[in-house]
Amino acid sequence: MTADRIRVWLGVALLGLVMLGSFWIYEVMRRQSEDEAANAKNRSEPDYYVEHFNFVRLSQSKQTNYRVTGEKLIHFPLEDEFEIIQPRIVGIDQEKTPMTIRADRAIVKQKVQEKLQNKPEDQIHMHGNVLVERSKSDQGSYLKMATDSLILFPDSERMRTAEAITMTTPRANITAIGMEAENNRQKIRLLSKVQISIAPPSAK
Amino acid sequence: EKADSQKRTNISAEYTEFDGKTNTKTLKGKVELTRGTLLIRAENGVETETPDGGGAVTLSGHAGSQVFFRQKRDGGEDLWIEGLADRVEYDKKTEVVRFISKAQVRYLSQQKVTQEQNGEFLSYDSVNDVFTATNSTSGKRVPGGGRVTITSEPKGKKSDAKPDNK
Repeated sequence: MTADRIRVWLGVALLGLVMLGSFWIYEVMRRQSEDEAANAKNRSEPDYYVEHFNFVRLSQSKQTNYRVTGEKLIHFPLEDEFEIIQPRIVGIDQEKTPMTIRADRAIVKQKVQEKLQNKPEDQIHMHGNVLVERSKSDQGSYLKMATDSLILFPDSERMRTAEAITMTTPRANITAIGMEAENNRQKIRLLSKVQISIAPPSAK
Repeated sequence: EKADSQKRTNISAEYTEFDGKTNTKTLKGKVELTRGTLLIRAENGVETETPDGGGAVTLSGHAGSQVFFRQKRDGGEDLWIEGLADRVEYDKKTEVVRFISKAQVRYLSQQKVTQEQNGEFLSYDSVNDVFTATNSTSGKRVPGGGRVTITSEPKGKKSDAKPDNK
C-alpha cells in the first residue's frame, strides 16, 4: 500500500517540478522582453550620423513633402529612428505657404501606425524651444507658435501637443494648454485654458 | 463707454477652435469676453473677424444658463448697464449689443437700478447710447406678440440726485 502511496506522491512531486519549471521559463522570458523595452529607451548604438545635412522627403506625387535641415542627424538601426540636433523643418505644400518649424532636438519615427484605422505615417517628435512660423499669405495671416514639445505628422499635415502653447498673430496673442492643428484644413484646436488677447481694431 | 472701443479685447474659454479658412473662432466652456469696462460671460461663443477689424461675436448660454453683459455708461459718475439673455450678439464694428430671447437689461446709477427693460429683443448701441426693445426675437415688432416692460425708478429728491448732464 505504501508503494502505491509513494508512487502517487512521486507523480505529484514530478508534476510540481514541471509546473515550477514552466513558471521559471515564463518568468525569464517576461524579464527578457522587459529588458529589451528598457534598452529601447536608451536605444541601441547609432550606426551612422551625418553632419550639416538637408533631408528631403518626397511625397507619393514626387513633390517635396518636407525638408529637414540640421546640425547633426544620428540614425538608430534597431528602431530605424533618426535623432536630429537643431532641426529646422520646412513643410512645403505646393499651393500653400511654407511653414518653418525649429527645435533643439527632433526624433523622426518612420511609418508609425498610431491607430489601427490610420495608415502608417511618419512622426517627427520635436523637443525643446519648439517654434512654428507661417508667413503671411492669402490663405492666412502671419502665425507664430511656441511650445516645449510638438509632434508633426507631415504626411497628413497635422500637428499635436499636450503642452502649454503660445500663439501670436498680427492682432492677437493666445495661450492654451494642448493644441491640435490640421494645416491642410487650416484648423487649429486649443484644448484647454485658452486665453486670447486681441488688439483694438485699427483706429476708426 | 466710448473709450472701450480703443481697448484690447480679452477672451478666455476652456476650448477654442480656429478656422483659418472662414476666420472664425468657436469657443466653448466658461467663455468670458472683456474689453475696457465691457464684460460678457457665456458658455459658448462664435467670433468672426473681418480684415478691417469688424466681425461679430455671438454668445449663448448652455442648459438654461443665460449670457451676462455689463458695461459702464458715459455721461456720469458710476453709470452702468447690465443685461441677461439666452443669446447675445455683439457687432464689433458698430458696437451694438443685441439681447435675444428672455432678455433683461438694467440701467444702474451708483449701484441703484434706475431703469429695467424686459422683452424678447433688446438692443443697445454703446457708442451712441441708443436703446431699442421689441417683443419678438427677430427684432421686428410683432403686433400682439407679448409686451415689453420698461420700469423707471423715480429720481430721488433734487438734493441727493446729481443732475444728469446728458
